[in-house]
Amino acid sequence: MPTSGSVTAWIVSLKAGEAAAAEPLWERYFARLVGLARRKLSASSQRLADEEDVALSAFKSLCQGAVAGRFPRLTDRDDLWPLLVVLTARKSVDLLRSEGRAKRGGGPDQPGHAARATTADELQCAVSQEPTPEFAALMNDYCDWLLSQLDPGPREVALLKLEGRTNQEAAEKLGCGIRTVERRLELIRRVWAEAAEREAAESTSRDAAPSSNVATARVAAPAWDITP
Amino acid sequence: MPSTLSEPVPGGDPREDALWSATDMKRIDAVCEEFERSWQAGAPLDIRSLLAREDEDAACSRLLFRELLAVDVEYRVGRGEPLSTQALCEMFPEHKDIVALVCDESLPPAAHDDAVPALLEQHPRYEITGRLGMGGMGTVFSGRHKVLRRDVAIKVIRGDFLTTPGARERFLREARTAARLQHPNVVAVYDAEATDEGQFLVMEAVSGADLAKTVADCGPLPWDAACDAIHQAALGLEAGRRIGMVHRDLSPRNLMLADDGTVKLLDFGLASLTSVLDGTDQWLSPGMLVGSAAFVSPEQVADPSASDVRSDLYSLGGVMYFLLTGSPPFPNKSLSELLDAHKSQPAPSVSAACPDVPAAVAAIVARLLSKSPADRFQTPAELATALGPFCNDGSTIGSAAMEAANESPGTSRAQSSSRAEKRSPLRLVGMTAGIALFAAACVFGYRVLDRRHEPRTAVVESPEFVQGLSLLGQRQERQVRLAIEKFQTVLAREPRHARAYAALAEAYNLCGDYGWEESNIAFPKAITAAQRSLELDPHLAEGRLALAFAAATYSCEWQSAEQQFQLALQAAPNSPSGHHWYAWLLLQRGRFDEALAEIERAQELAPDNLIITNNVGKLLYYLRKFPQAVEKHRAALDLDQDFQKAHRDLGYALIELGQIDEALVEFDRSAGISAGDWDVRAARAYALARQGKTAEVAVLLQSLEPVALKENLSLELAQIHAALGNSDKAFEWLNAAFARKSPGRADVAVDPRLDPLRADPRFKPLLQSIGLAP
Repeated sequence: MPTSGSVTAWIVSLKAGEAAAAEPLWERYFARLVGLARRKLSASSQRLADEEDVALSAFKSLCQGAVAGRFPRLTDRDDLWPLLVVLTARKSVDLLRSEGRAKRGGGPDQPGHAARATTADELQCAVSQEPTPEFAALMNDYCDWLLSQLDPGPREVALLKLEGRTNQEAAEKLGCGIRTVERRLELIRRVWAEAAEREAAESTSRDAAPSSNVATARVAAPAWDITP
Repeated sequence: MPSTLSEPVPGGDPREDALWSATDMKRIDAVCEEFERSWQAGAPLDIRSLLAREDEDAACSRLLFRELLAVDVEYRVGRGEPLSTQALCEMFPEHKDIVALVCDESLPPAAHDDAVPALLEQHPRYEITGRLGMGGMGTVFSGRHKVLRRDVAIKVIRGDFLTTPGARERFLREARTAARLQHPNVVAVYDAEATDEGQFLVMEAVSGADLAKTVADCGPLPWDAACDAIHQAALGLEAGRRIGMVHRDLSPRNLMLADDGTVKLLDFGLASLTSVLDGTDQWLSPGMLVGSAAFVSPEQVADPSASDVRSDLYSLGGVMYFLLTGSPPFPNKSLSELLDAHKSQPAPSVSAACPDVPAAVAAIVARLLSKSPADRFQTPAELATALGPFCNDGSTIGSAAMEAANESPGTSRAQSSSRAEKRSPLRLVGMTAGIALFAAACVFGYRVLDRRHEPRTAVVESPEFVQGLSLLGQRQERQVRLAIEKFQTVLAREPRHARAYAALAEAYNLCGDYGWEESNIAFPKAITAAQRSLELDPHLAEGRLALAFAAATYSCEWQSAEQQFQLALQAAPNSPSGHHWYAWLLLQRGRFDEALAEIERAQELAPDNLIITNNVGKLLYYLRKFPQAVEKHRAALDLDQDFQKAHRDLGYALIELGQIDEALVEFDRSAGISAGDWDVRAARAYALARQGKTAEVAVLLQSLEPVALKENLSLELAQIHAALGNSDKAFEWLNAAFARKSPGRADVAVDPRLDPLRADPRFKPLLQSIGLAP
């Protein structure tokens, strides 16, 4: 199964044809997600007053972009939302699995073909089911946590991109070159992939301790477990 | 294929070279931010000094360079600076691939426009037949004179040149003067045209490469070849001097090496088109200039218009230094430092860099690089006379060419052919540089060129040996077996022929690696032959490579294999096979970044090599970069659509992308090319197993299992059973492969097809048995 690292690689190289095919699903998915994001934000309007949080809210950026008529596009290889959807979907699968496993008494999952879904399939799978309020809540928290993993410079880029800005617009707003926006997008993808991986690994080790009830686990042994 | 300007060497995007760690990327981002700030403050920092300051490993430094250059180009373009891919390539010759990549992204289309310009689309006399490359002043096309049916090179001048008042007239005047010069060592100018639609220059088509590319591809020249090259250039320069012409912009890029070994000066007398001067005789912007600035004379630095033929001689001295050492006299400097060095810094001595160059030759270079024109040779003819004794066949060629100086082009053609028969060292260089050779010949050819380590007589090889190398390069069973016979014949006659032993060792390695012979039989023979070659010549790179290959592939002696690879690559740093095989060792040992860097180096050195191109794909497959792997396998198929293994490997990569039906089509194609191959049948079985078509797989397995040991298919059967979920069976076959020391068994460490088995407790001991797990 691909690691989070290959998610970024895959998203970047998502074939135009595949992306175009998934685009209608994606649009429907996002219309729904924006609705949930709005509800989530108004439910926590207390938190919105806190400027620190506002700056860090992925959903806030999503709503702002949606208000201005900017929807994330799957065919735009610079968009960060597809990556966030896959990472969140993966995390929610992990949660479900580890809950199920706890009921069966634990033990590592057998790596097999079920776990071999390609990232293309994962994304298709994620966007073919409409997001539930629970999923949106998870995504909100998880995305904000991912944002908090970024240094201030890249974080500004991330927020503008989550608002649906083009690289050109982001560069103008930040007073930097387009190359800097592009470079930081690569950096953001990598930081998120590593953060997600690290977080999943930590959850696994917590999971191993009997007293822990943190329900996160890796789906399968990483394919990169190659020690020379 | 005629060529007047070389293409940038293709290479991968460092952004996608490897999975960069966030830490690396953050550090790079910080340096780039600092660089961008310096641009915004109006005082851009120097990229080279930033690179030097950051103590990065090679791969990381490639990425840093890529990002810095992207920022740099963006700001320069924003400022309206004229930039060209070529000028940047000359500024960063070690990163040509990245320069090409960044320019492709960032430069406005005009700068790298290769569309056929309007004025040549329906031209009464000329038709365009291809594109040869980009120069600072525009694009060079290969073309044809419609009436005379003569092949020509057509240089289309970029629109932003020749815009100053009077520039067009000056261009035509210079073209007229240049056309008067007819000499075998000067690229002839046939025609020029300047209209409102644009300008172009028609020149002699030269089949070969320029000396910059030659050195980039083959490394520094043997000293006698360098003497020959400069000797010829001096003759061309002398012919120009006699009619009052100076070149003013000599650099390795302006010296063409034709396939027959003739050196020809390019752009002679076309100063208004070269990057040294613009219409107002002022220095152009830094980006335009640096390529030539590495070779510019001190008096030109002080006053660009104050140059005579002795300035050209200084430049020629710089070129000679470059040919001998592989770098210009004052490398790694910013423009201002560089110009300053030409004026005041003593020129480095050739002997310091290359002790085996005869002192008299080093003295010639030193004299050419004198700061004062009065201390140099005073005419190119004087230089030619001084070099004559050091050229292999210099005296005859020299006097003949001298006589031809003012004669007709017919004489010059006769001249070229007489040269071709002589097997001069430079001709060998020309042949190797001009044509992309297959990998084996490059490895072995390197030694042919590099005669500093060998007696001069080694250039003339027995025909059996040369035939053997060529057969070996084809990587086909029958040919390799024939090659073994050839090498044995050579060794029967010359039992101390070290390179024949090394070639024999490579042949046995191939037999073992491709499974044409039992591992236990082929590899020990390879090791014996390689050891014998090293006894005879301990410095022989090919012998070390063969030993390293067997140590890694057969014995799994990782440390000694790595040591041998490193020694071999020290002796032959431009061996594509060396880098290619070393990449595989690094992959198996889990050092993925290094593996990618190595195989990319191999690819750079042999861009058209089928096997290396396909194996870049294979390596990417093992690194789980499946979309990129697919691209590479397709690139291999672009080189040869009948390359059976590329169809097979493309199929495997497609499976991982979920495109199993497409994969089966590729396997069918592979089988269509070579129907009897069992590996394709195994590949089909694997695809069907991934689709869960167990009944069909069972039928295939019935035919595969009985021949598996004989046909070396144990690993493939393990993969099929892993896909079916039959761990026990899979491990049976893995054990069989390990017991028989199958050559591919170390790939198990990284093979995606074996992922279902990785968590099994039986897996780790297997890796441990070959030293690949703690």
